[in-house]
Amino acid sequence: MGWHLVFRSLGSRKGRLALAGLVVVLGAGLVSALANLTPDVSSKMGGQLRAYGANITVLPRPLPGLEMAAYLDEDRLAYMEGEKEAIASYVPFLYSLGKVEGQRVVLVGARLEALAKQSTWWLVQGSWPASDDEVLVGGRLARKLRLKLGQTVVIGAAQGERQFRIAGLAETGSAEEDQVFLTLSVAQELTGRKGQVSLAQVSAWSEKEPLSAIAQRIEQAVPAAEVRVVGQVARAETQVLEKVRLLMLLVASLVLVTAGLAIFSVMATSFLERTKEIGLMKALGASEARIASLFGAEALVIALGGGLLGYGLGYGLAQFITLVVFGAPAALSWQSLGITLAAAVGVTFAGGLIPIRRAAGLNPAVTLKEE
Amino acid sequence: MASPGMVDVRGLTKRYGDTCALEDVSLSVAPGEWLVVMGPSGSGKTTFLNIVGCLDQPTEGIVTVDGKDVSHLSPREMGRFRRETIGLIFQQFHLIPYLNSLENVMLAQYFHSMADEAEARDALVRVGLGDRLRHLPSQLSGGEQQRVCIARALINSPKILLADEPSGNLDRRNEEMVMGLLSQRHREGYTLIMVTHNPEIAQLADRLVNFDHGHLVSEKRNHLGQATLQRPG
Repeated sequence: MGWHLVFRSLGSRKGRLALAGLVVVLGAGLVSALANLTPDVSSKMGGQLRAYGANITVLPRPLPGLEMAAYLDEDRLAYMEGEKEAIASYVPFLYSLGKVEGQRVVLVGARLEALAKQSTWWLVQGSWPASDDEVLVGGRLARKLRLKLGQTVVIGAAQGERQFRIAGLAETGSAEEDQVFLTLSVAQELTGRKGQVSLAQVSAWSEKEPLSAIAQRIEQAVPAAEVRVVGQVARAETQVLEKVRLLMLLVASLVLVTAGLAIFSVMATSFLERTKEIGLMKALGASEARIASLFGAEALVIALGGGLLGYGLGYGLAQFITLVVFGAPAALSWQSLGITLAAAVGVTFAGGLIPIRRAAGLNPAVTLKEE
Repeated sequence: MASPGMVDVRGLTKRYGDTCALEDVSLSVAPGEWLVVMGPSGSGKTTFLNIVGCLDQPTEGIVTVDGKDVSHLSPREMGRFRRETIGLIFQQFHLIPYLNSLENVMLAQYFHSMADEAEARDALVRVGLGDRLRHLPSQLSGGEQQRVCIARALINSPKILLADEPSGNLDRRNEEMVMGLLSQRHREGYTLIMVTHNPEIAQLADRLVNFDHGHLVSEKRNHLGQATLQRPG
């Protein structure tokens, strides 16, 4: 009889139910959108920030008493391939002096496809080298040596020389403009440093751990390496993400309070309209607990129904936002379903608590007398 | 007084702030008796009925119903006593608009103990509403709504029936039908206390008391008791 009563009551007040439901759906929808977005935005923004360069540098530890530069073992760096969750990309570099058309220049051997990903702000005229026979030349150097895009040049180093086609000219606004970039293996071959690299730049980010923890793991995995976190970049990233998180938390709180107030007014109006009905129930001997449970059950149905619909709506909204802003859909999170339903039920009950208590405490003699 | 009454009221006074609704009222109602309470508006009849029906509490005095002193019960105890002992019939019927006749009767069962559809159906058949079980109050005439209200008041077998102007909103034909039903319950042994303005209805009762300005001003035993309400034409 209890649930029958609840559903008959809800069915008889379709207009009011629709209004209360709508308030809960909209409130829950916004909470759901924010709950779905918050972790996703953090990880997606973290990922996006990774496009703006490396935040960890791996250098060979200087060898005491030796003047010659130390090198890292390229194979040991490959361990980072297995750290896909925390390490977005890493670029091993081999720096050496060489000659282009008889002029001394800095040759940089690198994993060019990874470098391209880490250096999205470089302005490249032409394209990044697609093969071992192609190079990318810094813009200032190209102007100095009058090198043209597509031109073939001879590049030499300690162990020989080779012909290359200039696939692209790079404007970077810093030292790279005076350098020549070629694939790591060719650079190692020309310099006679097979399997060796001068340093590696790592682009890392994890929601679960600080950068220093990732850096420490790299240091343990790569012998004779000194790993430095690029503090300025890391701090700026952390601050941006913290601010985004705080902003979303504030918006979610405001949404909850607003939805709570709206639900309170809808519930209070609904109970005011029904004081006579409540008075009659009390006159028939219904206990306050029984009346509170009947009205509480109505609130629960509204909260769960509205919460589920709101979750769907919010999830759709989160998908839309992440697709438009980040170009990738949001991941479905069951945790956010729990948060949304808990918020919907919590806010509906918080909003309905005072009206329910007031309704249950009414004096039946007074309410039945009122016309 | 040889045996305790179904209702015993001693020195009952009820004040609302400075207003005195009832003052020093004492009377007894015997088990199975039909008492009619009359008086002008504001004389305290409904307040008296509310206090006997445990919907309100006295300011002073002792009220005993079915042997229990109900003068100082907590709201929760009053509710429990009401559902166990009292059947209420209202002038405005007070049916839940979204429940049909059967469900309105079952509601009283639900608050009392457990809803029983067959029993509720029997109660409605007994008041002549066997063909109106699934009708909503809005689909029933005033007389039919009052009969649902009577079936609801009787469903938990109360010790005492309290009716506040039960035919106040009915036409003559329905008034006769409702009074016929209440007379029948009285003959079955129910104790009945009824507030009315109608002297013809008062003739049906065993006893008539008159209230004025909160005082019990007159009392008359009615020797025409058990007459039927019939009018010329």
